[in-house]
Amino acid sequence: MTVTLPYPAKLEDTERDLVRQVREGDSDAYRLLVESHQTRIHRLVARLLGVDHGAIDDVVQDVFVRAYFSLDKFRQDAQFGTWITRIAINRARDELKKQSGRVPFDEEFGEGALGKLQASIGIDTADEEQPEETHNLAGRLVTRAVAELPERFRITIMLKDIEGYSYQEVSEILKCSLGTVKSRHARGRAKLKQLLSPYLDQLVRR
Amino acid sequence: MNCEAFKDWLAESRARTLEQSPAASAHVESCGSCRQTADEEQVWRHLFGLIPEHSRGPSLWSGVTLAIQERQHRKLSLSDALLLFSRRLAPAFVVLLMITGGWFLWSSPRIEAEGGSMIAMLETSSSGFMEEPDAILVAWAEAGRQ
Repeated sequence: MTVTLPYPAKLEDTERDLVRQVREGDSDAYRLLVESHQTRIHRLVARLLGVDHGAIDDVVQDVFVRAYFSLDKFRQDAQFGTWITRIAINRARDELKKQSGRVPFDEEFGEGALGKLQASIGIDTADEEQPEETHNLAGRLVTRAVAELPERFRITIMLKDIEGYSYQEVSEILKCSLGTVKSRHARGRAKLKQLLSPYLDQLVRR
Repeated sequence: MNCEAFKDWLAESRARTLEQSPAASAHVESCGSCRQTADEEQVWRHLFGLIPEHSRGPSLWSGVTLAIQERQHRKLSLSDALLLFSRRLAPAFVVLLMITGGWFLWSSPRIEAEGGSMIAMLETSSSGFMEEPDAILVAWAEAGRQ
């Protein structure tokens, strides 16, 4: 049975060597680390900030710059990927705090949230005639619904269900217990189900 | 495989499907609750699969390396400035130390003199105090004789 994990075990040793080389002053080693993680970190930051956010590239770049200067603090018992994912999440959180006029993620959605959700993605029954367009709308609907979740649930759902990390990896990234991760995941899914329930039949049929 | 083991197996990776594990398939055939869990998981995976893949970001290395160099240069500039400042500050610090030391040495005898007078005062007061017990003893002895 082949299991696809986001972080293959064979990379661990290579990355440990690369980290050691960077600490010894080898910048090419850091280049390899950046290039092997940039796509994943870019995707994660884009999902945390929203794909239309103008500062995604700057934030991702800053993540790698911060990581470079904090490499002395990196303990080799953790994976570099886990460590840099944590830096990216914290940096994205900081970026979100700077924003004004954005709906706070920690705010629980009220009764009108579904209407707002529908209006914000502009669902139109006429679009159902166009499969490609509707598929995009379905994707945007799920993306927006995830974005509506309170931050602690949203990040857990993103890491577990969208990025494909295991519970154990999520608990290491977020530095919280396995039980907390499982609880946040279940509660996040419950809220997501509640949010998507009016569209669930349409979405599942796609 | 029991229900708990099945749920753990299912939750471990989104890449897992029932076809990959005969044990999981067999369990689902005999357990309605886990069948439902597996079906729900399929729905979730489908929903999350609808989220569009974010396009690959630009190569960041050139930006990252420039930012690192700039920050290193800034750090270096700061340490240079501190070095220059400390070099100019060193003579001033020596002069300040000499002035402070001189003042301390000059003022030390005055402290001693003041201390001496205080000792003299203590001696006076303590001798006055010591007279009192003698007077009490004398008075007590005289009273005894009487």
